[in-house]
Amino acid sequence: MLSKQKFEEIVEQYAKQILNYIYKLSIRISREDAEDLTQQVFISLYHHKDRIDHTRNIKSYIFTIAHNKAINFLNSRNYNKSRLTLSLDNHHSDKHLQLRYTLKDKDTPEILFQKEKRNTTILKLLDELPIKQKTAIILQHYHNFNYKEIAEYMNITKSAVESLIFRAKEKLRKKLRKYRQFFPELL
Amino acid sequence: MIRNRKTKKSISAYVDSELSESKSKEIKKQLKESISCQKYYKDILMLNKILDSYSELEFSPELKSTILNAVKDKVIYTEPVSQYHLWNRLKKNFISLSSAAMIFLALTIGFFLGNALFNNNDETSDYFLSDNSFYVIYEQIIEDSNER
Repeated sequence: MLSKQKFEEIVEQYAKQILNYIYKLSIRISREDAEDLTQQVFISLYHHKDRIDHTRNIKSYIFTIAHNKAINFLNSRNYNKSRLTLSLDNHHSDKHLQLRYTLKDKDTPEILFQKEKRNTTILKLLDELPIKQKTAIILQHYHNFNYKEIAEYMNITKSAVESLIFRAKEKLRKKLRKYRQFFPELL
Repeated sequence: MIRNRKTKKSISAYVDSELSESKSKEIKKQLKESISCQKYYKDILMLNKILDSYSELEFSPELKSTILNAVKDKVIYTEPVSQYHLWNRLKKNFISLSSAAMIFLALTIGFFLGNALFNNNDETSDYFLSDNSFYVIYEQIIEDSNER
């Protein structure tokens, strides 16, 4: 059983993470869709609050709901290929750009543009990975899951997670070469 | 160049601090001895750095309050729509909304026209009722029958 106060704490703690997790899962998910899905995740969590087992990892539980919501959303839409290719540009040219970053005084439009290019390229690279590899990499890199937690979440062995992450990194490493211009550290 | 896939996999896990102590020692030793292992290790470190440089989306406070309000009111949404995006949804559904508005307008006009016609009929019947001739004829018939 989840108290109302505890629920509010969970929203405070995980809402941003869930929003970003859903957003990174596919370039076909816009910021607006990600926000709607995040809202649905927490409403769904609240509706099942009586059934939540405290012995289970709540973090893993919320991410599972988020993953399922995102996958259902993607399956429910019949995107065509042209929209898929276009969506990368639209994905980040959203009018809420100022909300994407914590703006610093030194951030000129040029710096913002560079950041945006880097972000878009990273998302594109992640999007080209198979869903399992992508999920493992996103959880490990952006949500502080260790291999054991990823294994529990994905219901696979720890060594399978190691393989998934290794294969994902191999692909990313090779593909990154094509985008050297956005990553001066690679030159 | 490292040919052994297993070594590469171990270096990747080593970078993520996911190896056992003994395995870590083994990899450390290999890294000291092999230039190709060192290169691969640096490549993985660089990749991690690039992935970590991704800027996360900022979370709008509006969304948090929308979530809490929806839950507070115990409103069951099949597809929750924040006010923030309501206008976009309205724009998308413009055709269906305008058709519904037209039907509503047609029904309203129909209702008033029908009412006006009905009122006219009432006036006609009032006119007949207020006409004395009907009562005069009726009274004559009653009188005639009484005389008989």
